[in-house]
Amino acid sequence: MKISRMLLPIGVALALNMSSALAESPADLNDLEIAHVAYTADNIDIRYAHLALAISSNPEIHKFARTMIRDHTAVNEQALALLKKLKAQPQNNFLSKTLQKNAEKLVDDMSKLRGAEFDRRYANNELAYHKAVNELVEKTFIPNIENGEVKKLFKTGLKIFKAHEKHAAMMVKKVK
Amino acid sequence: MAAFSAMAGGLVFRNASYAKGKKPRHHRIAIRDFVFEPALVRVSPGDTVTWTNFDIAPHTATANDESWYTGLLGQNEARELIVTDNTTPEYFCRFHPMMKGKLEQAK
Repeated sequence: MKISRMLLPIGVALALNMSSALAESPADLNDLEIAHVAYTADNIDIRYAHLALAISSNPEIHKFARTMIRDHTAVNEQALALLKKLKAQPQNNFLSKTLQKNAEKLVDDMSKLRGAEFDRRYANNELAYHKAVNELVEKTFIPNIENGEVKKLFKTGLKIFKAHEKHAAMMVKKVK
Repeated sequence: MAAFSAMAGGLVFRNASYAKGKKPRHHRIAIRDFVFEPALVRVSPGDTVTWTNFDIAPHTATANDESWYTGLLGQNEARELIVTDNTTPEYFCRFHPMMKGKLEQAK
């Protein structure tokens, strides 16, 4: 059963900068489109982490970024293995495209920063990004996913990303 | 340095001095949903502690003073530690520092 697009948390839409895309709703995505969004979101965070490794000289930021790469890669591997088992291909959609477009701009913006300014921006973005994606996954994706195995993987992923949210909150305090 | 035994190959060191009159015990700690279960284990020298990671995300158990370290534990991987008199009790996950545990020794 699909929930109404009116139920999409407004904070999520704002945080993910989706206002222009709200003519279409995340609540209308099918399982394969949701899988594509998750895979895209994972890869975006991996990309931010690589940027952090390239720009930051803060060892704490490096440790955090390496954890993001390690964990998101592990989740992606499980997701790909499940899709292979289900003989299914993730489907690109408006939300994946919006996330990708927003990420391009953010990477451009962050690339211009250096030192503590970069570290603060990276940590703050990690917190906001995980918070927004977690809310989307918990309140919109998980209730709407129809395949039991896909739903189970999303529930597992959510626990990981909630841990990342807490970790990011620690990082924000450390680089204040 | 605490003694370590890798479940999936590697060197095994068992040079801990056993507590007098006590039979060594085996403690099993599960890593699940970013938590060490149980987080507090009461141990004695000579006991074995095994950590098994059931999460998708890799974890470690690492002494707070870094004097012992399980190495990276992927999903369903396990490592053993043989407790010695001077095994540092407090530990954490090197990748997720909010995960904490303790091997408490009776005084």
